[in-house]
Amino acid sequence: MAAIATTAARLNARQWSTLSGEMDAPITDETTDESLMLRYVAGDAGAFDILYARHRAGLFRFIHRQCRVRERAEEIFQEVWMNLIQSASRYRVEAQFRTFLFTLAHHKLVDTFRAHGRRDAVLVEVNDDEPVDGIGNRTIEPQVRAESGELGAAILRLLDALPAPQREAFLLHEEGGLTVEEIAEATGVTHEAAKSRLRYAVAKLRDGLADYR
Amino acid sequence: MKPHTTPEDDAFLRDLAEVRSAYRNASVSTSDDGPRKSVDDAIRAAARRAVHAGPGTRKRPWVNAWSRPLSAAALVVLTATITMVAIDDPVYVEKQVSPLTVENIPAAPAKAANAKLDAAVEAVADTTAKRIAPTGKSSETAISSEGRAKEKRTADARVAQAPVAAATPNPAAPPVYAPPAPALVPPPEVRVAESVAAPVATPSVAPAVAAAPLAALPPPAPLAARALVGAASAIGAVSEKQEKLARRENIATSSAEQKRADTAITLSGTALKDATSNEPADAWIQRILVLQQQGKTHEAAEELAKLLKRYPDVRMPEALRKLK
Repeated sequence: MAAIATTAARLNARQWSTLSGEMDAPITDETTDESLMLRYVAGDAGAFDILYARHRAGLFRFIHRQCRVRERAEEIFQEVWMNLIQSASRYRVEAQFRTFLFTLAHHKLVDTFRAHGRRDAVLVEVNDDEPVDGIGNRTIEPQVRAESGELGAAILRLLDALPAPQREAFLLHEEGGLTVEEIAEATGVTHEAAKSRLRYAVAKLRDGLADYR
Repeated sequence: MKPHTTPEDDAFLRDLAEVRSAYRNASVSTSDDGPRKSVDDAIRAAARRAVHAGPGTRKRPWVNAWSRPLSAAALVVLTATITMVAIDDPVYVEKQVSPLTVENIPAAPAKAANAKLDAAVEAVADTTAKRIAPTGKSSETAISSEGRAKEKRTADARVAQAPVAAATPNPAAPPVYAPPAPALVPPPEVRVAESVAAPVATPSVAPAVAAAPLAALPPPAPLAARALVGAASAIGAVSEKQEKLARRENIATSSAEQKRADTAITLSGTALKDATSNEPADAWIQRILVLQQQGKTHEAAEELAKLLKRYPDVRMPEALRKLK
């Protein structure tokens, strides 16, 4: 917590230039996440509230879709934001705020999964050679499809059946709005690996949805 | 989300749009829009605690505001203190200028050094005797090579007289101004007048010595000058000024002025004899070693006996044990 108190003095010239140009302007919908974060680092708690409101739902869904248990998702969600608050002094404008935030979430999920021994959710394992036309071992049974009925519920089940790295790539793309390059940065893999994961995930979801149409 | 512009990704983008639409509908239908309100409140409260206040209201801690001025002041005080200690503390000066001892003298030219030191001691004896007498003139302090043979015959008696005269200060004699020795070693061009006046600790000898023109002094022998430094370091405990002067003489005699150094040697030799009252053991031993090297075994033995009487537990070098 105390790190933020000294962060204002550490901001580089570019950050101060960016901040000084927007600090006096009122916060609007067009105010970027980076400006809000710099405002918060400079002591504007209101900027954090806006920032939190922007990414609250997306980040929670990103976490919840992967750990599946709501209570645990809330716990991880809170820890991610606490980490963000504590590491705000390390934030630099060069990095997109959402990349920064979802990178924290990714690391927290990896730590949690490792701590709980969830092999099926180990995000660091990659199996990009898996055939696109299959959902793997977690293919949804026909009776399940019949029970779900709705397309929305179906895609959630399909998403849950994806390998963890592919599911994470898709969620980072959809919930965080991260590009392939940003997904690669957040998950610590190459651009090609991130792109491959996202393509596999989309292809599997599309093929799975075809059964419901 | 940033658009993908690669043409070959059209199929992927088409699939992605289809999947995204379904995913958005699923998110809305499940009302999975975030954590409980208590979690939100906890996070926002933590964020507010971290910043403590809004922008512009945070003040710099007083430690930050005063850190630089305090650091500068502390630096100045420390620098001044160290400088003062370095100037005033003679021990510090001692460490800066290590005395040249007998052991440091090269062994090869020892005979030449001894011979010149003998001549220097005799010359200072003669000079001291002349200075004690009221008729002493400055030109008389010059020691010519022709007169050395004659002076040598009477040197012992004069040397014996000199300490006696020095030990009995003449109240009528004017006080001698001995310039304070600098804290550090003076430059080579140090005035020889200082080097002559300073070692004369007794008031009766000092005026004549100070009056002697330095130009008339005999040129020094380098080795004898080094021996002088060893002897001068031996009498260092008598007076710090004397010791510092000896160092001055060391520097002065390192030049080509051999006559001046010879005189300085003899003066130091005279003062050396007067210095035994408070002489420390180490300096005393050094002096005895000098006497031993000069072949004055008898005198060295006497000095050793005095030394052992005064310092029974003194640790002697190997060279003096045989003498004992």
